[in-house]
Amino acid sequence: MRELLHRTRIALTTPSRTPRMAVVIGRLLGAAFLICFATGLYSHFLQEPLPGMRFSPSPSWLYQVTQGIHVTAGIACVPLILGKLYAVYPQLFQTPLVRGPLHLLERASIALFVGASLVEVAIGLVNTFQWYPWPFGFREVHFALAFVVIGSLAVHIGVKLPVIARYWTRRRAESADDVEQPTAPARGLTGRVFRWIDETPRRSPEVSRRGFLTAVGASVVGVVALTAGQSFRVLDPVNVFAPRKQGYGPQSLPVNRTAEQAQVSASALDPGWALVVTAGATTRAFSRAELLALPQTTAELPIACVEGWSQTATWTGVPVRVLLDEVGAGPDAPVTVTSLETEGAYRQTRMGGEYSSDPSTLVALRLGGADLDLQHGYPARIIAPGRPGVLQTKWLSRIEVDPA
Amino acid sequence: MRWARRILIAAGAAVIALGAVVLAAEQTVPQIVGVGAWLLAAIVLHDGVLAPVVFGLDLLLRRTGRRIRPVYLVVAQVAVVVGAVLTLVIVPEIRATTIGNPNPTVVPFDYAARLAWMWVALAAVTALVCLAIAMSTRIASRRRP
Repeated sequence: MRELLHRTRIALTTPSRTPRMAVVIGRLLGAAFLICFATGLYSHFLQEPLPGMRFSPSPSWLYQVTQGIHVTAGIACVPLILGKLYAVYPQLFQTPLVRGPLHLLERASIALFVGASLVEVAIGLVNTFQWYPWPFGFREVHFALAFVVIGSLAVHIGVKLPVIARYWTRRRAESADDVEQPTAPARGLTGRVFRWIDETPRRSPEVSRRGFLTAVGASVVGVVALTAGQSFRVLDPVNVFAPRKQGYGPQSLPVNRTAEQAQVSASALDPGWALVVTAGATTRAFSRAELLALPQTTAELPIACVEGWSQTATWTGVPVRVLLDEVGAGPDAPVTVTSLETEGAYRQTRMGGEYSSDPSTLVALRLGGADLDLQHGYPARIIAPGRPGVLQTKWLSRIEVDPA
Repeated sequence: MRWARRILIAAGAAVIALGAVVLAAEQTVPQIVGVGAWLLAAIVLHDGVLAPVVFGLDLLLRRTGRRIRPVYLVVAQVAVVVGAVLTLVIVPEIRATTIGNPNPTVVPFDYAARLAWMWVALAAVTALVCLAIAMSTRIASRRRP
């Protein structure tokens, strides 16, 4: 068994599977993980702020960029993670398999790191296709695993720090590339298989290394270039594979949840609809005609989805602070916004004073110069600068000032 | 370096524990078991299936390609890797389209056809790159005295 492991490890050795390569790819993957973690935390706290957290509504494109980067960096992780695992794969067959309790712990931490990273990236990707083939909650598990991945990354860097330091620069790494050789020829079936493998011509190390780096690099460029157009307008012409396309949907804008899915088609088209605005004891109801009669503001604002797609559009409507003024509330009062939806995680959202006071936070009634489409939240929706799309509540029913 | 390692490992373990607490707080026991099963399946799928298949293919390519110059083999391998990674990313998307989504703006295209065309384009680019290498080698050999 020991002989088999040893020989497997040697058979797997190629010039692209060196500690130096593991460090080179590892640096990129580590950076991608940290970018995903930071942008993911930002998105999480925008949706579920801790007490006392305040965010800046400007620049209005901030969330569009952070979440676009989150999903794009996550997609780039697919080839990076595979490249990194390819570079270290022979380590799986090290002999002896376990050298002691500390070594067992190290191997277990790597198994956790690999498993958590693969699952995190895979469920993140499949979530953007709105397909959920797993028995757990996506949002909760994606959030929890993010800590497991980043914690394992810290443990892994801690364990491997001497190797990382040794192979960090090319010059230091050059003298250290060594290939193990087996001690004696193996016999039997194992021997025949490995002799067959040994007879394969070895390529020059340089061609092999360059080829490997080119393959990983080209794959990263490929997956990013052909999908990032859903988040970044410059790449829209080559958006071949993203699950969303800019300009594709009613009023040339994608939709995340349709009126049918939200079961609001009837209530949203009800002629008796009115938006109820409440502050303490004061309550006023505004029909759509009354809202249209109030001072209107037009703002160019992006709609940016947690799933990574985003698109800027022209919204027209009544600033929320005008409505707050109508019910005698202060302009920066935090409010709770409720949709006509009867169920769903986002039928109600909270909005801090930093957003309700912003002049471009609108109860939007029109989109791109036409009445808001039912799929985009007719008769009225919220659009605020720099907030996740799931918080831009559609099919409004109530706006309530939070009790002080 | 010793202290840096200790701090990294201790902090990392604490963050992993935080992840476990968050998971346990928000998911039921069967859901947590499901997460565990997915983690295990991911490791088995990669280490036990994907990596050996890649190794086997690499070996076959190297053996059957003995008479071809290594540079062409490398070009072909790069193309296969790029195509395979894109396929890996797109296949779940194709599955999502076959299940269907009541929202017509999600996964709106025929991704299977697009993937097939991507492979055709990749093959064409690979052929062009090989041709360019062959021509540049010929020119270089002519210049040599």
